[in-house]
Amino acid sequence: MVIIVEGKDDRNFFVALLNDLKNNNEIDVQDNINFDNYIEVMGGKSKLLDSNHTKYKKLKLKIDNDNIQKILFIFDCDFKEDDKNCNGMENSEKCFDNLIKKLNWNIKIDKSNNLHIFDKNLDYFLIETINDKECYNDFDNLIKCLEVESIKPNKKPIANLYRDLYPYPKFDFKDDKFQPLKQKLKNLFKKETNG
Amino acid sequence: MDKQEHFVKNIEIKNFKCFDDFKAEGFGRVNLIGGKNNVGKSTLLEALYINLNSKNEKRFLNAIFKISKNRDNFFALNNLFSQENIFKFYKILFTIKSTSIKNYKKNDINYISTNNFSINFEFIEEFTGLKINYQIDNKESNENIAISLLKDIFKRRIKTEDNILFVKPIGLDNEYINEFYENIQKLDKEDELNQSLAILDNSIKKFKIMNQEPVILQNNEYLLVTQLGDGAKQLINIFISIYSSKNGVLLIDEIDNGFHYTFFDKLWKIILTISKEQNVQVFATTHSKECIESYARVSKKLEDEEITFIELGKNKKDELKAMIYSYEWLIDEIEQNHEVRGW
Repeated sequence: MVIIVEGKDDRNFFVALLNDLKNNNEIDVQDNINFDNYIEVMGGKSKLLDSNHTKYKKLKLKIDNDNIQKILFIFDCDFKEDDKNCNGMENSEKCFDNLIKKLNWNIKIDKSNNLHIFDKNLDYFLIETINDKECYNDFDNLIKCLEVESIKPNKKPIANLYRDLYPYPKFDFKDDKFQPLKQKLKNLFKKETNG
Repeated sequence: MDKQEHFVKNIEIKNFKCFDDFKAEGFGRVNLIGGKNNVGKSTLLEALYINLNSKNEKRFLNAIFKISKNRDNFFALNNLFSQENIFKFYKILFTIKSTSIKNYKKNDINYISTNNFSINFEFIEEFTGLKINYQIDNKESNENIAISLLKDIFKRRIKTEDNILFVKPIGLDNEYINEFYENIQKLDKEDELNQSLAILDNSIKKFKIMNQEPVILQNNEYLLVTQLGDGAKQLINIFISIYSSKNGVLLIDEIDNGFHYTFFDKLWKIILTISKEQNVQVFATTHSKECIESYARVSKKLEDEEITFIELGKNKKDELKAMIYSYEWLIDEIEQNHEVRGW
């Protein structure tokens, strides 16, 4: 199976989350599993949504050879106000549908109600789940006071500032917000560890 | 004329050992093959070797015998070329789905085709001798494999293609090393070989042939090469073979055999540089992750994009399939820490 993500930060987050699932015996995988092997970094949202991206040709060959049998796409909806074709929940869904149609992979598509877990983007989602809620609120207020969001909302000022201050963010993977995503990962790693 | 005209760009294999119906295309100048145990890495090299020797009927037959010998040291050591033993080795070599000679399927067609040559052959069991039908360049041939022919082959009166070499894990024997070392001397590459050996083991000062025996100078005394460790022997084999495959093809089984991982970068630099200089297409197999990573790293450093990585694996129907990574894809897979050693 493969988890398709936008960038390296997303990969690092998923490796952390998958390790948390493994350590809590919520997924049955080998002790020495290399989670990097199951994550494809596409190099940004526009590349992830581009069916002509050379990485999709590689993935198609892997699908044809039964080397990949399940794929989970993860990307940010971002802000509609950013005025890009694929931003915002509705536009993102349209672009994603278009991608799947163009890829035309012979693979089952599970487009459940939980297709879009993240409003805004993954970083906002993560910031909301840090252990110290009070700390987050103060942090959020500061960003609002500085009015940086109005300049470049998709540059994730909160997350970036937070990440600079805390190289190892204290995400609380027990937070309820993580449950739908964890369930998707559990489904992905169910029974088979290859494919 | 295209300088790389002799390069194999694609291959199709049917009913050859573990290959039922296999196709792969897009090979480069240097091609590294990975996959799980017994998936068919060495067999792919064997199919290439037989196919590349199919320009000439006698050489084609000799290639088959060489492959048989490579696979079985006992056979090679004892030289038991009785009719019964030869038949056994044909059985090992080709798709034999029955368990005894009597149940041997008479019309099994074995087929290997590349962009260069196309051959197919079938075996017919006869009590008086093995009979092989084969087709090369659309010309049908039919020959009884008589013991006298086998003797000729074993005594090396018949050769395979001069610049199509197969380096097996146990290496070349002295006769070949002596013969091919002349190529190194003609090209004045003795110092280059000695320098490479010194990087591998700084106590090795010189390689030379003395009294028809390959020897090395180590600690002021000449020692037979057979006394060396596997890595030094493998390096001598590869170095001599690649210079002897000018405008040809070199096949190396288990290229990492005997080498410490810290030597891989030097090894790949030698192979990538000389193969380009001598216009040699290289196919090699490995199990080693460090070897594959080094291959990607050195190719990138040398900006040599004429490489591929071939990952062999099986689909749900248990059919053998190949995933051919271009330079760009291989670099990306390695940088992402992805597993490429089979699925």
